Amino acid sequence: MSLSKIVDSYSWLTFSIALSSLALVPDIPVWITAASAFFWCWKLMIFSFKLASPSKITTGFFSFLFFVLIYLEFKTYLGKESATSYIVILASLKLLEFTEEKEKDFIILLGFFLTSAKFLFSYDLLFLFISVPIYIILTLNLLPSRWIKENKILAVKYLFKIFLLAAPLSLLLFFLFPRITKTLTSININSKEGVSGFSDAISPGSISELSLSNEIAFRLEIYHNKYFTNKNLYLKGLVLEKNSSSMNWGVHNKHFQLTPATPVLEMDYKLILEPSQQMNLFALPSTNSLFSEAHKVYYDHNKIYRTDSMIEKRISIRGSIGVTNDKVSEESKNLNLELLPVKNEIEPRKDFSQNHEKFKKLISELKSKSNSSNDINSHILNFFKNGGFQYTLSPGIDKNLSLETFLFKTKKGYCEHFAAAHAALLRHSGVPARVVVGYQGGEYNSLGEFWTIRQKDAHAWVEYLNESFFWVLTDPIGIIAPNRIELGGQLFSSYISDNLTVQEIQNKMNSKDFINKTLMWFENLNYQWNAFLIDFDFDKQKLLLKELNLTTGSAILLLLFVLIGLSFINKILGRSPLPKPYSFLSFNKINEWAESYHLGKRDQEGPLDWKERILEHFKTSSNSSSSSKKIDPSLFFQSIDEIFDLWIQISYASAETPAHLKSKYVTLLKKIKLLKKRTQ
Amino acid sequence: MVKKWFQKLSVKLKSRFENKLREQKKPYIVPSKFGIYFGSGILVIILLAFTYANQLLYLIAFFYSSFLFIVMHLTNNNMKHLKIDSFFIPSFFRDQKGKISITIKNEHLKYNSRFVYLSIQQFKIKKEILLIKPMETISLFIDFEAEQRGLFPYPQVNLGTTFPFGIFYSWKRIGRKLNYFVYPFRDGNKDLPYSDFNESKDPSIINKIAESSLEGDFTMHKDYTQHDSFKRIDWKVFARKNKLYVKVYDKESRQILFINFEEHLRDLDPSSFEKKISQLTKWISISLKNSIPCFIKFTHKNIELLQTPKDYENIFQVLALEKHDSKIHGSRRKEAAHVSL
Repeated sequence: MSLSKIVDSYSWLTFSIALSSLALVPDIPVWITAASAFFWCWKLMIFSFKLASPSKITTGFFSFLFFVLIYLEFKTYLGKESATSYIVILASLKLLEFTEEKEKDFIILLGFFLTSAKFLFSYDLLFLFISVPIYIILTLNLLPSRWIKENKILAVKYLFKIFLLAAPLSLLLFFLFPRITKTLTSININSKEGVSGFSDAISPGSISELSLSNEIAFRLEIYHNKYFTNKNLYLKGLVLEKNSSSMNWGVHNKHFQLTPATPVLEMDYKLILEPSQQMNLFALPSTNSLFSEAHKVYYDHNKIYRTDSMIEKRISIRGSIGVTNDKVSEESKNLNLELLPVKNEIEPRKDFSQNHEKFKKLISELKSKSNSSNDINSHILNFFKNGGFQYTLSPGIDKNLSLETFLFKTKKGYCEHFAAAHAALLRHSGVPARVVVGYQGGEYNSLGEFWTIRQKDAHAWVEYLNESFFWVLTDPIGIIAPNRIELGGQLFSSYISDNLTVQEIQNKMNSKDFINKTLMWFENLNYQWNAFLIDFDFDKQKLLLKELNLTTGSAILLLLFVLIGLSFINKILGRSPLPKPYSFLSFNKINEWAESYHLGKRDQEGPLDWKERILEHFKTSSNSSSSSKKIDPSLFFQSIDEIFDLWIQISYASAETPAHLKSKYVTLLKKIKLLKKRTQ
Repeated sequence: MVKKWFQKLSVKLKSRFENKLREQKKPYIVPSKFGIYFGSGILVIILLAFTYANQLLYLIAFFYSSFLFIVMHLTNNNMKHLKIDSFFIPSFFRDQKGKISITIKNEHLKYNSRFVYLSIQQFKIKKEILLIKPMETISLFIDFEAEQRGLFPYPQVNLGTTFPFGIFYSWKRIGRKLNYFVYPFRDGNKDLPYSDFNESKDPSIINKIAESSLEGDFTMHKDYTQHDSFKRIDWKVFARKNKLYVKVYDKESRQILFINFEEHLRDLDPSSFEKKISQLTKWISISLKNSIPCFIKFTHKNIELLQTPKDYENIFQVLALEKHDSKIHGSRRKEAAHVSL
């Protein structure tokens, strides 16, 4: 078969492989994508200019070369990125050397792997919709190519029938097959993924860098306590108590005991966390417990939750909200009052001393005017409000920015600048305070009633200790850029960058226009789909089996019975019914009628002789005046002729199909019935 | 008694086993080479699903596992109702091509059988049958070449299919406990060894001629009488003249072929032996074709006249089995001739 004919026959197959490879582009290194594109272009050149295809030695050499390069890149073959990268390269190399029809099966197999590999990275509905036709095309190409060419519609119908038969059994397997949701092995992932990039420290510009990404951090569904709006939706991730320099904050190095989280009795909210390659979890205010099926969850003295291992895949976290009476200890209070001395090497002497004087004056003002921690906090917020400060989305990174310079010179920054400065000012004023990082606000989907929180919603705020020894949340951004708190990070950045009007903002929030409605509907569908898949863990399965009065063992038995039953049904349905002996049945019917006139067939009597005898009898009886039965002779004799003709045709027409024989038999029965009526 | 019982049992089991070898009613099914790769691929996806606790991969793996289950039944059903109605290899000469005649029937009333392969490994023959409709019978005639003459058992025929997806291979093996002959080449340039009726002085030949129903040369027509055989009526003449005439033959003037086996095949080296066998075969086949009476002399006493097609068939079979062995050649040939004729 020539190359052009192969391409014509397998154009859809090639297209589906290309689509699967494209879908993986975001998940594999750029150089892999480039190499794959190079091989595709090479194939295109071969086809367009009728060049010679590379030999198997050449493609073998390339596959070995990339095998080595991928190892050098990822340092392992066991990660999903490394394996997927290699499959992408293999697929493009295999297509490059594809010249014979018998090689198509291996390409189809690679296509299956490529398409399935995408699901290691994403559960998104969009790719699922794309993958369904890809799977159909791949499976269709497993049929004999000749058949597809000659009877395309028949082949497609045949395939769909099989898919329809396979679907219920696959669903049964999905729901009943014992599920292990904890990962079997801890595979070392050299992943490029690092979506939620909160580290154990912040410095000026670090959160603004993080929030440049539009990636989804997690989705949040709140069941009870539905008083949350953007304004009060703060999800705490990390607490930074160590002030390493006035604007740099970090987690304390002291080793604090981690306590296992208690199981969640009543779920108040659910988080579906994207893979972050970190162990941090995020909790709503007043959370008293978090739980995950996939990981063990712990919390520290600050009620900061984390998992026992890195979050490498999408997981579901259940949380409960309740009253917590955790008063802050004296030790913790002192910890949150610590201030490191300001280093004067950072700033030029001239500026430093000027700003430092202003700073000292500010602190003394705060101490003198305020009676309580709340007062001090209010005064600091007023200082920010009236001090000409600006909230900017792109402040740049400056790890050496000092508090004084920020407060009295630059006066603009992102949330971490203000939170760091606010907490520092509180501490300088004698109020224990700390910086909290996490997420604030998000996009609310009114259809599915869930929040989508993105990296753009990454935020830093402050908590200070009040006189009752409880932490109080305060957010300077609420004063400086209240729109940011009201709209959430994503919408706020659109408001700034796209110059949206208030009306447009409201439309987006309420999703009144068609595009936003459609997006919201799709987002909801995607979320429900993700939630269903992730949530269907071992516990959920156990619950389902319990509702069906089944245990895991009996579910497996049930599956086996179903499989055996299906095989049995197939055997019965596949049995060819014995062809009915229409000849014998026809004879019986005729004889039955003839017997009623004592004209049954005699032994050794041929059919024609028998017919003659019957006709003779009725001719005689129709002539005799004593006959009680009046018979219309012409029709009657014609009927008998027809009946016998049919019987002879049925008996001797071996080439006829069973359907034809059956129809003749049915005609014969009708004629006998008519004959009976005539002779009555 | 026990010994007899064991003997009976072994005969019963042997015949049952041989019957199984002959006609396999239910097809076998195994994964094909691609099917093993495909199944391994599904296993890999299940493992990935386990490793990453990925529900979507579970769903895909379970879907394709169900798919495999159904395809297995489809492949089996594609093969199940096929039956070989007839399988025949007529004997043939080595200068011809052998013909295998196979009739396959789909005994199901509703389902088609598609993409069925008929293969005969011994002759490296593989034929594809695209479609056998319900209750349809198809006949295949396959040519093959024989490498040597002799008696050969029927080869085993495999009917197999990988339809629909090439994942499973289902097959039936059919064999027949029959043999076919490959007669020698008909080759040689020597003149036919004629011998006149009249010239033959050998009393056994004369007796044979007398006993036989050999016709001599046609001499004339005579009127038909009541005692004449219908076979001698010349119907062409009747058509012309509307009167019955019978043909009269002169038996004694007929030319005959006389072949002395021993004399022709004695003391030959193997290459000459084969040539001689070919020459003899050619002579005998010409005799059959042209209805020339042919006498075969095996020994001084054993002379046979080939009269019926069966006689010719037997002599061809003797020639097919003839082996070069100069020492015991004579007695062997005599035995073979005695058995076959």
